[in-house]
Amino acid sequence: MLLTLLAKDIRRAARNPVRWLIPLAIPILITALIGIAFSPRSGGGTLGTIRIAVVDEDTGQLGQFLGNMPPRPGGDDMPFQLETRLLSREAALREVNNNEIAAVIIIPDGFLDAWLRRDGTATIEVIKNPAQAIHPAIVEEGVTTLATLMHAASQILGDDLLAWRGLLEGDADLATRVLRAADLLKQAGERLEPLRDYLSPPLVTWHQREDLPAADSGESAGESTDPFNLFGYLLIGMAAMFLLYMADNAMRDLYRELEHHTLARYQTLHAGLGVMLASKVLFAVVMLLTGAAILFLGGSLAFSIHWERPLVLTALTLSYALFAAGFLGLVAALAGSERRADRFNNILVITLALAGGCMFPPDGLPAFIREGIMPWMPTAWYAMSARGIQLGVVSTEWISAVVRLAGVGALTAALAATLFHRRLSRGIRA
Amino acid sequence: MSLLRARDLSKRFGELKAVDGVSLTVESGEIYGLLGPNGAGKTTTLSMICGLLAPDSGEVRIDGKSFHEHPGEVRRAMGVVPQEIALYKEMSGRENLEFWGRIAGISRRDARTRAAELLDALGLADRADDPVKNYSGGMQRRINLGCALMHRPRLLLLDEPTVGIDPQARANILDFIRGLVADGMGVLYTTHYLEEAETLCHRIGIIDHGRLLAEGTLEELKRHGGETDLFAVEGDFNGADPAAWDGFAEAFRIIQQTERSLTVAPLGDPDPARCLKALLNLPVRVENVTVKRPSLNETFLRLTGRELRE
Repeated sequence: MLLTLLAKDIRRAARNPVRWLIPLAIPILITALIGIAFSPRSGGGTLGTIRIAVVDEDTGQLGQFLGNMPPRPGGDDMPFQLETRLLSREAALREVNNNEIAAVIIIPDGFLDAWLRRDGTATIEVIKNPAQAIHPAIVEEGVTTLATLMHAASQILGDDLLAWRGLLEGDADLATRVLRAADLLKQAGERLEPLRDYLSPPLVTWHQREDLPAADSGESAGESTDPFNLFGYLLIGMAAMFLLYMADNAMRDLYRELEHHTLARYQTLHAGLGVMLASKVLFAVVMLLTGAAILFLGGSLAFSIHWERPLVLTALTLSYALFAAGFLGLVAALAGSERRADRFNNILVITLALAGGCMFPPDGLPAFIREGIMPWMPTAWYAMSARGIQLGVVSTEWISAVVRLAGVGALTAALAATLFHRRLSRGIRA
Repeated sequence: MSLLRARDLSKRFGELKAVDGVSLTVESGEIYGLLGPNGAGKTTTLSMICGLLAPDSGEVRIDGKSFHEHPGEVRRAMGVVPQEIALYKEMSGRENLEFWGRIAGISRRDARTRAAELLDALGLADRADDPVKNYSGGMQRRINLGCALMHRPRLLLLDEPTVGIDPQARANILDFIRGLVADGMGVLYTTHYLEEAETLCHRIGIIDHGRLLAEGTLEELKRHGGETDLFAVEGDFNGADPAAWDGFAEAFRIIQQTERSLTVAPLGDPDPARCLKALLNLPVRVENVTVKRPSLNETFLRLTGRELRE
């Protein structure tokens, strides 16, 4: 009987696949978009070489001095290569038109004078190549950062800037200039001293994880050549969220059975609703496992994700599917109608995903969520355990997660069945 | 022993008494029509008989077996055709039949064979593998009926199975039901169509406001309303108050009054000539007076004071 009901639901899902494909397509799309934008793997390991032209129209001595500096390629430590060339405006615009460079930075005449004198507004002109998307945006962000820094320097160093200008443009001999420069540097250091607490440690930093095993050692590293794949990290969170939507869809099918009177017909043929309710939980689990398989295999093919310890990931996903089916079934039963369940569950799923660290890296969440709420979120149990496995962390934490997820799933499924049974015997209708 | 015996069924929804002490029996090879307007309590009665609703009081026995004591056996003995189309519309007619057959407890092989038989009998063999959503209303009704017959029940409960379909599709379904009864099946058929009850049912129960007002064969019911003829008077009755007319209330009982007609039954002296004379002398402009034998409609009117379509 259970299999007959399950086969029927799967057949119906196959005939009307759109509502199932959407929650599968969205996480892959989001993962692709975010991954392509931020992954160092995109573009053959880096963001590629960003080629820009600098047009220096500043005829002042300072401008000429800076303009004579050699072009600087990006360092090895940068996530991209920066290639700058000094060109005339016409040549630079021609290269933009030929799609050979990402952007042109134009330093207009009198720029440095204006900045050093703090007289009016010093303007840098940026012309982005409209045929490119990401590189010109990076250049624009870089120039914006440069402008912010120059503004801050202007505010902090104040009249020292004028002294620097006089020093660089004056007629003094070299020894005098060096001594004067030393004085100015000392003054600048004294001015910057109070900022030490703000600048060190910096607001944004990065570090290499020490606990990551080497590619060729340890049980968890397997054959992976790179234990971290941004796509894999993202996809686990997205899967945790969108599998909830799939579970919601599966469990709300009970209301559709009510609405289409097929549940009433079923009741004329069978005394108990238990089998029908169990079949919906089973259906949800099957759909979620299928969905997870599509997401993870699809992710593997599309983003070259190497899934670490697939059996453990499968066990985690199975228990998560049981949790999702039971929990969303309980919410649907509490809602009392498909319309109310529809409204309520959307909010609930997003909240669970947010508080469980599925949508954002947990480190980016406020402390009260990270420390007070997240440990209680089944979404976090799943996502954190799966990400841990993916990062190669050797731990038995996943076993605890599997037990907790399955336990909550079984409990909520039983409660949902009881509630639905009570509501149906009282004659609720969709 | 009756195939179906429902005794003193009652059901209340809050303040509303939907069914009030309904008792009826259905024999093998018989179609029992439960006739009443919308909201009369037909579907609630049928829902209690098939186990969808638990009655507040009363009991249901199929072949002498109590529903309460033998729910599984009793369910297997009956097939229920709900008023709504209770099908999976993404699935084909054949798939629906086979699925409901499996739910009713028959084997996969039997379900396949029986589905093919029913598709032939219902005239749907050539569209068997199309999704139900692509069927016409009449075809969906036929599959809806077929799903209740997969397990060969001895009692068929039909809740207004011809609502919303064209006359030809309705005639097909009624013919099919006659064929089932000829094979010995008992049928409980709810309807608010007088002509269906008159032409299809062996016995009819008239229900209104949750109470079974009368039951019997068509002839018995016509007699139930009285042996006397009825007089249909056509004229201008707009704003008229016949009860106030001199001697009218003593001579006639009003069955129905509209702006253009007045249907009355004579009280006391049923002599048609005297009645005609009295009616032609009414203090309104009378255009025509017709004498007619009471039909089921008039019986219904006499019992409920309203027409079925009201």
